[in-house]
Amino acid sequence: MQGKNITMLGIESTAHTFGAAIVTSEGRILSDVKEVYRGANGSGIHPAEASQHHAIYASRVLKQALSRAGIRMEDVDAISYSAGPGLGPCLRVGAVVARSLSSYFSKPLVPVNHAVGHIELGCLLSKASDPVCLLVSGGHTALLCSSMGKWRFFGETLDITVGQLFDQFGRALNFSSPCGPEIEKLANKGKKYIALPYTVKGNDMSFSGLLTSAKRMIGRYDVEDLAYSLQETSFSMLCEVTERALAFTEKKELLVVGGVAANKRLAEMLEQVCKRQEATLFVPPVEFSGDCGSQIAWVGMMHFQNGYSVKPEDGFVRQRWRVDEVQIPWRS
Amino acid sequence: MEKLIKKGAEAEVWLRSWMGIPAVYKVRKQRRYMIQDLDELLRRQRTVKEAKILVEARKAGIYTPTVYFVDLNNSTIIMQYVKGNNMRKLLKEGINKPCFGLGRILATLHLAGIVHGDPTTSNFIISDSKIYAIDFGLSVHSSDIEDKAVDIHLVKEILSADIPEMFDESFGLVKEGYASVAGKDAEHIIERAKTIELRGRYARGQWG
Repeated sequence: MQGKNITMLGIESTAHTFGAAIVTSEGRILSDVKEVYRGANGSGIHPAEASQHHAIYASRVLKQALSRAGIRMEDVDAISYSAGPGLGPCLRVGAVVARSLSSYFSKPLVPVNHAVGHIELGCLLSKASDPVCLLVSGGHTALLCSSMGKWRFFGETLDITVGQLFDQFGRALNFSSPCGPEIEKLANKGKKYIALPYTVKGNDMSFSGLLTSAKRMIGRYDVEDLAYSLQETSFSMLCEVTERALAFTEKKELLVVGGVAANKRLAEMLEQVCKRQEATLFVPPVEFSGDCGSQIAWVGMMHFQNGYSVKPEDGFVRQRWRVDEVQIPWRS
Repeated sequence: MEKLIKKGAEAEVWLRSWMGIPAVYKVRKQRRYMIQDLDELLRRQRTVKEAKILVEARKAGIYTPTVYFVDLNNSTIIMQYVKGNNMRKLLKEGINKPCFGLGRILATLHLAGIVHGDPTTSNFIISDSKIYAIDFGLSVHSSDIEDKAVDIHLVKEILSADIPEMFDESFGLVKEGYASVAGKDAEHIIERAKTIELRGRYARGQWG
């Protein structure tokens, strides 16, 4: 395998996004196609509906990914898929597609941890080498550092994620998930800061009290001010813990990935955190910060080149699967 | 005499003379990434909290730097200079014996109704074979099992991230030290810490 440039198909299917991408072993993304499920206004992801959405779009997304990359399925060297963590019905669609392709075309199959995908694709695209990583999305809100062949939790939310915080607040305002972009728009118009619960415990954070308070204030305060205060409070907590991680580990790189990384205010705040700690901020391009096939294809590639693949019948899905359970041989 | 000893995430720590003796100035500097209202509120709250609990913790029977003066307008605490190494540094050198003492300190605080709130290994200084606890800015008064268990969870988290190769033994020492003071209560609190960990994102169980 060494020396030869190979191609990997990656299939993402953990939550609202069904994506497919073709990535080379040199780290070039030949194509990245996705379709995003959206629930009704005021509601979140309905797992059964989302999985139907994925099943309907799967073949179209796959075909586009192949044609944009200018290759045929036969030319792909291996297939990787998001095996978890995520919503069971959604994960199963991606796994079924990947297993079928693997079996029919006799291609090696590589199950991938979705969160590792966010981090490693972020490293690839932003050229961070040994960063403190802030992973902030609907599924995760955590600070991670790699040591001894694993990405390890330095700090984490004790309850809900920032993505969930925004989604649940947004849904109370009748938006549909993911609500982050709507909250950001509202927040940009907010002017007055309303004090909300700020909960940092060591390197961990708690957002559930913040959510409850903010939801209770809907109707009593200007909604733009509320969105602004919600964003400022939660991002300040993230930044404080991030700064602690940088100071403690003395690492000089900060990588921010996950859907919430697309928020401009967060990036601006983290830029200042980095300045204080004399570190450099690494942010992948916005189209690759959220869920996409490339994150799966790239980590699949790394695993595959380190000799890992499974038979189609062993292609598992795992709804609960923590980042620090995954061996990362290329970072040992 | 003026020397920056540490530039932490939240505060700068200076060694400076105070009334003719060497002292530590812990200065909580403005954090411009936060909006001013929130930053000022946090700095004030934490400065007050830290100064009070440094004194109370000492009364509870653990070593803390003596507080000389609090300058609230500048979010500054002036306190005794404790010369020594922080525990993180020793752990990195492979010395994990003080973990037992860390467990004892947490249990002693908890019995006195104080939850440290930030028991990361860099917040314990070893000086003349005594362990000093510092950084009480996130401390709370609480006898709630949940709050105590969060302290234990935080220690576990930092040990497993920072010294994975020595984690099992080191965290074992923390638990032993804790139990040597807290007695039977230790079991419940450590059990609750496990529950907290299982509440974590995508956790499936198993805990040592």
